[in-house]
Amino acid sequence: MRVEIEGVTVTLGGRDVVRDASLVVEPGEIIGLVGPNGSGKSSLLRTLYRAVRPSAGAVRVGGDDMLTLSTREAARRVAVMLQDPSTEFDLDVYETVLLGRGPHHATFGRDTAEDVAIVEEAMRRTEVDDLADRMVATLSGGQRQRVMLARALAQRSPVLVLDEPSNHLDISHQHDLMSTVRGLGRTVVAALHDLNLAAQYCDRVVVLAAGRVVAHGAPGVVLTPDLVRTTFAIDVQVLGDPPVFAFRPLARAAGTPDRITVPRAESTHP
Amino acid sequence: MRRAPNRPHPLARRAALLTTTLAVVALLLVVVSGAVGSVAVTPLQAAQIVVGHLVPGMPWMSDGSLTPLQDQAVWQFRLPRVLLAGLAGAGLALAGALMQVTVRNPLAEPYILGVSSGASVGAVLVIVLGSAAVGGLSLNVAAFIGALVACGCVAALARKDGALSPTRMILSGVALGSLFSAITSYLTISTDAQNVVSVLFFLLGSVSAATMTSLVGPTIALVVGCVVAGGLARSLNALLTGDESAASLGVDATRLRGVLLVVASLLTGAVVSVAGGIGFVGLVVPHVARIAVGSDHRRTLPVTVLGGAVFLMAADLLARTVAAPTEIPLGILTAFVGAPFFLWLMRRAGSERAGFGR
Repeated sequence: MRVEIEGVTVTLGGRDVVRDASLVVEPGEIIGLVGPNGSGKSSLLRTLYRAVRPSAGAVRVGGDDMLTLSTREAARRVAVMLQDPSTEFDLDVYETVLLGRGPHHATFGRDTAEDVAIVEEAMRRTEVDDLADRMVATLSGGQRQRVMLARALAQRSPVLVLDEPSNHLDISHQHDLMSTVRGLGRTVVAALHDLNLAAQYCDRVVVLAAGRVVAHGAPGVVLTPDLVRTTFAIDVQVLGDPPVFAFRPLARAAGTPDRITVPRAESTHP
Repeated sequence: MRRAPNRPHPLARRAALLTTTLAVVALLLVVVSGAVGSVAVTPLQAAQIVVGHLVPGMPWMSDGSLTPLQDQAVWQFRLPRVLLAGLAGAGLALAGALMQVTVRNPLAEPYILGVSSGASVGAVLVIVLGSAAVGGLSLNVAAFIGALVACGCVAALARKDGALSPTRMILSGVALGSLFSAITSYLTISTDAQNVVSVLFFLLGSVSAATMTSLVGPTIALVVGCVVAGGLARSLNALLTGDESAASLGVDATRLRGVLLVVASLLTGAVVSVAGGIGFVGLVVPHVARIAVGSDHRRTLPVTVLGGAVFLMAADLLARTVAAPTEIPLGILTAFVGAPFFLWLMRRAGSERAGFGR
């Protein structure tokens, strides 16, 4: 399913955290959003699952504006792997993954054999089937993250949104996760911190800085040492193809700002 | 532990068993309550009287085996009373469970939004100033209006930028509750001594004045509450995981919260207006249900509703028998028996299921 983000601006607390961002994701494509903390990656992703309403622009999934769809239909089209669920009243792993079937049910709908099969398949795929009866709060960060992926998979939506999917995962689970995602054949938009993961698994990367899209294209073309230096304020050496990045912090003169050349969002606005 | 494929949840059997048991116990308590009291009635006779009133043409109603006094004691006093206890328990427990999800806080209970303090102001106004002074409203109606006014104020105060924030809901409820309590206290302290007992009676909660008519409001509220909550059970589970997570699962948290707020306030207002501020049930029964069968609302809600009914029916039976002929106010008994039981349960292994591990 095609995702079109058209001139989206997100305003939080009177400040534009995303400004005029446009992006088209073709069906089956895997897009990596990269950018430093506070660059607007998560806010842009939020517009894809209606957690925030863009103050300008439109987000279309499968040709329909997300805001015109019912909440349930929206969740049938876009599933999200979120960072951390609230566990004030805890559900066990199986119940959590089963939540992914919710958008497919009418009020009073009962779980069907199909639901159970889908949930079990999702749990096997993310290797959390052994944890079925554990309470989510008792899991490690990495296990929890795999449960959240299983929940999103159980939603069986054509579009999958991942917000920092790998931040608690060990290196082998990071690669398991990304190759699982690649193998799904779904349209994927992922915010990623790890440039190497982005380069290895994404068809295209979109670089955000201060709420704006500053570059997009194939990882090998976009992620140049120059761009990484200006966006992340870190020196990088690129080895091989697909690119592998070796990082070395830039020596900063005292008093220089963190982000070296990217204009701050406030200063570009009259 | 790996679960065998295509098996129901390990707690599903327990939940079904517990729900059935509670329903049977509730029926037994109705019969037993009909048989206990100063006029001697056997459990069989109590059952006969109840069935005889519901199904016309039963032979025992006209063959002289039952005295008019027995009939009156069971049908006019004991039955409405035990039924009101059951309805109040079920309604408050359900309202408590819904409030706990609405504000995602284990300390939430039906009165957290100031509903009972609002109802108290209405009731105490009638007791202290007399019905004529408040437009001829009866105590029950005035209490119900007070409850709805309080809930309306809280909803209005908690709403900002189109969203009902849980923290604002709790804080406005607590602040308004204090304001209403201050009004109640002032009215109580400045009134004649003979009114003070009536006020205290209302504040502590009681089902002793139950009549068949007083059952109508709580029954309607409970039926509406059960239908709405049952239909929303899946969405309630999604709301447990957070607003953003709920949104990604197709649940509009703000709209759901609005619906829950209305339903919980209707339940609480309907119960409080006829039975006063019975405490403890709404806070604790949902937790006990979660410890027993987990947090999935499709299992927890039936256990909560029936558990609340059984708990309050049993408590009222004790309230009017342990110190007979004196009656212990219901609110005192629920806390006296319920608190130690709850604390024991909380300390036991297995309460992690209800989120008590943190």
